[in-house]
Amino acid sequence: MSAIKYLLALISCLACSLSIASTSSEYRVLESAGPHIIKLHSHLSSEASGLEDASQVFCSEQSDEHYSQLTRSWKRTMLAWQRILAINFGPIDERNSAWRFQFWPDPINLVQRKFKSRVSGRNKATDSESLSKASVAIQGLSALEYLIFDESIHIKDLYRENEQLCALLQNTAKNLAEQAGVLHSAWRDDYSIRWLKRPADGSEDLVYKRRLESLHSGIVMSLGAVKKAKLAKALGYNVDAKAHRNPWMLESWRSRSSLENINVNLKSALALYQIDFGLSAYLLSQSNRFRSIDQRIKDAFLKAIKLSEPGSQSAFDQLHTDNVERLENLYVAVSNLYLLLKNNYTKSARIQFRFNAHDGD
Amino acid sequence: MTEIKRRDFLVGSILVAGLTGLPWSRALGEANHLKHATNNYASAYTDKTEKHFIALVDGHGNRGVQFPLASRGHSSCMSRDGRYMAFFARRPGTWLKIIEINTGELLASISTSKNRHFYGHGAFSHDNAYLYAAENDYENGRGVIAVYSIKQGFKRIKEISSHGIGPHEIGLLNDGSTLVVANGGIHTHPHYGRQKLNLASMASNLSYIDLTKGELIEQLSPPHPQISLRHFAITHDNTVVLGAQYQGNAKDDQPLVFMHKLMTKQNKYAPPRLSALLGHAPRARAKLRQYIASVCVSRDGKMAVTSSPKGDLVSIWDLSRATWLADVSVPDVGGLASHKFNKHFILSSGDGSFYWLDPSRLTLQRVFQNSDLSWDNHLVSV
Repeated sequence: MSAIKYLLALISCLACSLSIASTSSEYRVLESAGPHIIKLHSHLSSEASGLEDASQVFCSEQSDEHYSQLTRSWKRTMLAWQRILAINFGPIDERNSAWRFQFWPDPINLVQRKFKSRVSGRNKATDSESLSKASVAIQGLSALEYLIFDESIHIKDLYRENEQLCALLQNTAKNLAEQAGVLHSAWRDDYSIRWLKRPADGSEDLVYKRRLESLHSGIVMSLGAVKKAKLAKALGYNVDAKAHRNPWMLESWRSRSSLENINVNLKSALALYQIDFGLSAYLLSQSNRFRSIDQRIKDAFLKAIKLSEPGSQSAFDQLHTDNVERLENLYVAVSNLYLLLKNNYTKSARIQFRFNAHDGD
Repeated sequence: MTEIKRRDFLVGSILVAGLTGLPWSRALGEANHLKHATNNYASAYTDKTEKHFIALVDGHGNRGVQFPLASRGHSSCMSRDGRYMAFFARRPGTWLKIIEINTGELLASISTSKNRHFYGHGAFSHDNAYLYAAENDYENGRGVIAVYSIKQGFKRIKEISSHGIGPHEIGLLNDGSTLVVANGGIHTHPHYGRQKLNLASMASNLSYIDLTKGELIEQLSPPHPQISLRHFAITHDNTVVLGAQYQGNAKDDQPLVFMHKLMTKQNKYAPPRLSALLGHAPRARAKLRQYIASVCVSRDGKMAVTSSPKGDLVSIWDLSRATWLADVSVPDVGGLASHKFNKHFILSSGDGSFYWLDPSRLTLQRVFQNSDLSWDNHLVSV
């Protein structure tokens, strides 16, 4: 009898250790990604606060130096936002707040249209509360890009003449900084705990894997956004036969920083892929025979990153002058990377990229 | 059903679904005793290279006739005489494909009018003379129901108001003259893709419209303004079972499945509100992740199933008691259809699988899998 008991205990122990082993590689990815993601959100919050400060300094004295500080601060904040493009789960999804950071794509220039009445002074609602409740088009980084870079604003002169512009600039920056702070706190104080929380019903294998899948799909979807929204439309790759190249379809065309955004998207996705125990390590933990696919993914990342390094000519100018070979090559490189991660990685790592769950209707 | 039985069913389903490694050949073998489905189904799908198709399939997911698409498809409807299948583009798509069932030929490719796009759903009139389509008059931010004349080669002949924003699934009551519309309440504009432009002010409703006059018979709102009513199924006795998507905070606990029956001469005691189906504990409801993708009712009208791809769950509902029965775990599940000759539901998934669910015996069996394709949101009986 005692021998049977011993045998049962041994089987139970083995099953338990196998379960922990299978859980642990998923859990290790979550454990590794969590602090990295919090750091990215902290950086965004800090840059957005800096942008709020820069807007106040510029409005106190519209000098060349202060304008230059303001533009640099906007670009840094935009890049901090681009770094979390792949983190499309957790607080940003739960609060449905991505649009408060960036209203884009904007093919009919709704930002300018919606700002028109406020810039002209016909609409006096420029306090932060009114702006936070206003159209999605006049909030966040897209709105600030318009207020800081748009040629129609004739920046410094107009700000000198129009006090309302400064109210718009400062309050939009203030709302953005608040949103970034809320997002950072939500990750740091709440979601990072839920991210690692063991489910009470003993379903941790499934739950941890599902969370890992959300990290993977966030990366895939961010690459999909680079491919489809950031490059294909501007290059005129559309099912519509009438589509043509259009530099105004680029993201951040006003600040001519489209390529910088893409470059940071790719670098940030790669960082998530190969962070301490990231998706790369997870794949290799499944089997050493996946070294080749892992290397192909890393090589594809590096190729796309190299092609997206900003050079002397912005993407806007490249499209304007029909010098598009590099952008076309970048599109091919990102497409290849996207499919490698979406199909090959999922098959090898035995995880799922959900179709209906991500973009249903 | 007791709590223990519910739990047993969930665990049993997971075992059958292979999440613990049950060989699929065995599951397939077990499915054979159920007899093959003799009816067909229609679904959109997307392959691994992101090419989109519509296909007629059998109950095991084997594709028959299929057509390539320029963009992702959504749902379809069939004329009562069994002659035509209309397949709609997913919003904000502008194409509509008409397939002749007998020949399997693509009869027509139709585009919406200027400044309109489809919402992916439609319904044929009971006399097979008209096709109704849910469309967006996006410049004016209002929903419309377009009327296409079959005799005139599916020509768009008029439109009526949907009495709301964002009409999604539509269907007819069995009088043939009352159109049911789930107005999702969310304003979108094709220039902004699928971006939701009015979440702060959205207002969804369920509208009953008299098709002879285009007038509103009755309109009901969900209990929270950010509950978006999207999909429904109608039982043979005109009970409308609705699935919703909540657009507010993910931590909120809101009902997502409702039912309603319009007050008529035969039904004089209809409550003037949507009735939330009960029994789903907040913890179980949280697993749906605020999202119902499809609704399907059994042919006898006693049961309904709803799919939640975000939660990897299909929920089974007892309509006679307006209560939840059980949840079953199915990865990335979207499409639901009822079998013509038995009580099974057929489920399709984004991972390329087809399942058969027997709600009476509480069994789930995967009968098909092709990981090179993803079945889209809806599965419709042909």
